Amino acid sequence: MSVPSSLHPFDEHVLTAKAMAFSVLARHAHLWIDEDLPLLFELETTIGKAELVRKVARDNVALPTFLESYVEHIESSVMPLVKKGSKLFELYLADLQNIQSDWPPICRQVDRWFDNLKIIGADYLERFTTEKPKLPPIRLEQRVSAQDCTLRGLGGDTNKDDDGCGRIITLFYDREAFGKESFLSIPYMLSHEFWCHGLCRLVSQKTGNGERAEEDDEVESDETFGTNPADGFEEGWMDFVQLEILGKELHRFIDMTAFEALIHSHSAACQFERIAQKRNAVVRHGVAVADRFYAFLEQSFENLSAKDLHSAFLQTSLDLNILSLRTSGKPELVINLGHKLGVSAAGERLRSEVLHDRDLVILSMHEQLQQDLSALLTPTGLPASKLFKLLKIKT
Amino acid sequence: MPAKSVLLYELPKYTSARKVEKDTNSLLRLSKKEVQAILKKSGAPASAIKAFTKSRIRVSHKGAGFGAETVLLAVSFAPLVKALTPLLVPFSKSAAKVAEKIALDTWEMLKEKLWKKKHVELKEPRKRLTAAHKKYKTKD
Repeated sequence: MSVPSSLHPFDEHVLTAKAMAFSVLARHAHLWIDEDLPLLFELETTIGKAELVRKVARDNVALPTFLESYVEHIESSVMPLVKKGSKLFELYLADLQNIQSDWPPICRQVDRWFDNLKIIGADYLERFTTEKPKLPPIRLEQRVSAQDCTLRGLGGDTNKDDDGCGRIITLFYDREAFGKESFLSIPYMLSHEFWCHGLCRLVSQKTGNGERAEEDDEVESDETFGTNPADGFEEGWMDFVQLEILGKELHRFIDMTAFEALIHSHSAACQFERIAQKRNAVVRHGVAVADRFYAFLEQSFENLSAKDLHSAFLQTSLDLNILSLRTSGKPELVINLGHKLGVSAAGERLRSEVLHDRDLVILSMHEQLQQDLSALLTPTGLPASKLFKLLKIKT
Repeated sequence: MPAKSVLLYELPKYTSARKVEKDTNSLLRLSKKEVQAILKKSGAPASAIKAFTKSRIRVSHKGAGFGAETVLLAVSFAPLVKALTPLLVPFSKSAAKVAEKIALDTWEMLKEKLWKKKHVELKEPRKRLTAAHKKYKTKD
């Protein structure tokens, strides 16, 4: 269950006001043509101005009053810049005034999204995993902490709770940097933390002949739940998977019909921005391998319907994600599978003869992989243990 | 396990927990002289060095974050304490505490070596939450 908002009321007011003003503007922005663009730019700057927030925050007020005052200040600040009557600006203001009384506080909205995610998560664990584990207790916390925000004024973090049996997801906000794309990117951030880390390592598997046998020590693993930020599976492959799920379950998750399309496109943009960051080369590789693998399944198994392929891909991915095994097992799977699919890892050095005949080599590897996967494929997907065996990875 | 057996640090840039663990343990094996001095200072038998330097310091990631900023490095020397405690029982009434002190001193020595020899700097984690907010009460 979600805990009560941990945001300070002032932070919550400011973030809610910006979220509302920017999101409504995003719905209108496509109508603004070239000659209106300077005004649009001015409007965007005004909405995000700290000065505007300070003016509104003069009195300590409840959210509806704060939002009303915020909209009035947008109007009074931008109106002098509108030389002739701007229909677009008037339309925007009218929309804003209509929506402000119903606009929920940001914490409540995010909690609602998170509750929806948990319902979808429990459903997917039941439908798309072999072990069908129960959804662990996962709660959401929201905090303002600029230093933890890395994308669009937002940040995310998942840890085990104090009991060691549940997970805590924290969504971080940077109040100053919270801008025109931030609110619409929150679902992506939540979905990433939930699917990639909240539902990872739920089913324990005793270490066989892995290098770090002591990782099986339960006490130790409880204390050090964590993921390497350069983990190609959890941060990359699963990020691709969570974006697929987000797209499929958009309405069940978001439940804000007017903003669903915008949120979907912003989520895809978030993934692109994230993997384009230089330090995220391994994450980019993980996303690319998952993407290529999904396409490879589509190309290789024409007899399967799109729905069956989607289920097989999901089941394989979620089964791998819930499996608890030695730290490097899953990232190795991504690298080995990527190699067979012809997706080179960051910094991977290929032998010159391989490079020379790369196309031929990849073609023959594809044929072999297709045969191997055909032998492994069951009606529900590719069993994780057999996939590890095929890729010669010690678990 | 005593709380002090796990210490948290900022995740150094361009270094994984695995690499830090490998470097730390290789430095531990090469620091017999220094470890011997630490054992002597704490009144532990010199024979403990074999078991001590054979055990492993474990380094892992703490937290799974959207960016590296939210992930910490967890250094656990519980295996060192576990290996040392039974050897100290005949010499000290509070063997576990002495073992932990020895492990902490050893870790401090290794941390310095990590910086000097491997250029891995481990920094204390910064405060995770922002400073207390100014008072802001709602009126209506």
